[in-house]
Amino acid sequence: MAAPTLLDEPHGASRDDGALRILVIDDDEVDQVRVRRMLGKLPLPLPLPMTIGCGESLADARRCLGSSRVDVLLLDYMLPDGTAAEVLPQLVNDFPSLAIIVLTGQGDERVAVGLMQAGALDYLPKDGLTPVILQRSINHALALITEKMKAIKAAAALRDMMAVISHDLRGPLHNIALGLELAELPPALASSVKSNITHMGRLISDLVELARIENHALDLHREPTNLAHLVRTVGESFLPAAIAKEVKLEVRGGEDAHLQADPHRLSQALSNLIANAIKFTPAGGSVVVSVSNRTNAANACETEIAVTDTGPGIAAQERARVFQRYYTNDPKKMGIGLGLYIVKQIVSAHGGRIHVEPNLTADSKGSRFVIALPSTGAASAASTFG
Amino acid sequence: MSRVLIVDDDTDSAQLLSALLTRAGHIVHTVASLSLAQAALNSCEVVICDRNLDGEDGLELFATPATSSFAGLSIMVSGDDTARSQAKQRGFRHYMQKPVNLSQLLQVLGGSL
Repeated sequence: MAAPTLLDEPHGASRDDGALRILVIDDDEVDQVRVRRMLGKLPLPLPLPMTIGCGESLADARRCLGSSRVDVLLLDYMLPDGTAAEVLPQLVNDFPSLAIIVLTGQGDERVAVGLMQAGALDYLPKDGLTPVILQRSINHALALITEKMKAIKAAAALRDMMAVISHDLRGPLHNIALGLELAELPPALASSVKSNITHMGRLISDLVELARIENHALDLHREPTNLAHLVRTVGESFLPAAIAKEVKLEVRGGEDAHLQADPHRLSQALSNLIANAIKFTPAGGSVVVSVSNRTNAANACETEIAVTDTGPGIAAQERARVFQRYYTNDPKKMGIGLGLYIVKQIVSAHGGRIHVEPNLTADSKGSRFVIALPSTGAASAASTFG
Repeated sequence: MSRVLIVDDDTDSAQLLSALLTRAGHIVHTVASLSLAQAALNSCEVVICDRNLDGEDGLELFATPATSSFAGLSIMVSGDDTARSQAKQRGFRHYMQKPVNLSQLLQVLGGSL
């Protein structure tokens, strides 16, 4: 069988000639030649001149995709080193601007649906394949990719803009906070302005965090962290807000709990939970923040942080939805529905879980949000972190 | 009471913080650029430096031979929290995100309003 002719080989057109670069991967030489001939006989010219490369295996495809730009991949379904279905998700992820069309010996509706779901833009049975069908498929795939890349670009620009705006909002907010200190307002007024400044600071943090999450840039700066200490510090920072709302805030630091974590991200997650709990708990109610170590079903150490309130509670059918993006049931529409979504993303990035359950200690009212994080526990921590 | 150097190119921010710290009993000097900050640094006990200074990076404050041995209290203030660990590596003892928690700042400075 002929050696693969990959697109990056030096003969023929120069590498970035603006041509449409098509890669044909098929281990059946007859089929491969047939497809390449058809490409040479397309009834209408493609939008650009065309450069064709070919190979016989998934490994050939990867090598070629990794070393040079490819616009269209015509991929045989069954190859010596695997099937198209197996590699499609990874290819789509690694090469978002690549239009992938799968060719197969025998048509099968079920396989076709699976391939399209995995990211193939079209599925062509080799029997009865004609230049017209091939051309229609390629043009359609290219149009889809153009749309997709436009959408990706627009989303990225929006996220970049959001990050810049969020950052630039902090400067003026900082100045307002400083000005408030100088203004010497009556204490009640000052405290209400202060809580608004804090609230806005938290909204900005949420926007920044959302931009990071959407950019897949939620990078954790892990360091040895004592969760009990973190929970106490964050919890106690909410005492003024709780007092202002006449909510009893109790922070149970509990036993030491050590893990490798990003303390600032976890603080933000916990702040979101406590701020919510205070917001939804009526005057005279209580919010309890606690931390405890336990061993889970798989016998691994876990640290559990629970925030329990005596608010209105969350209906059973709503509980799964509260962690979704833009979910909000704030009657005053103060929130933008990002808080709990961000909490969940931060917890997940730490390898942890979060859920909400009814607060069973109250009179059938209130919620209990529980974060479970993998930890080294309390006992082993003494030797690790001193 | 400390001699505090505020490094910030935002005049509003510099003025407000300066007024607050003066009221808290500190002696405050404000500058808007890195070179001026570096020249004034060794006559101060505390430096509060903004991260983004009109084209300059506040992280570079201690990058010169004359400033690298600064033994006073150093605080970086920034609109985002991305440079937190970098700031520590570059010699800043504290990192505060805007809007800065004033009682925390004053606690760090060892004073009160």
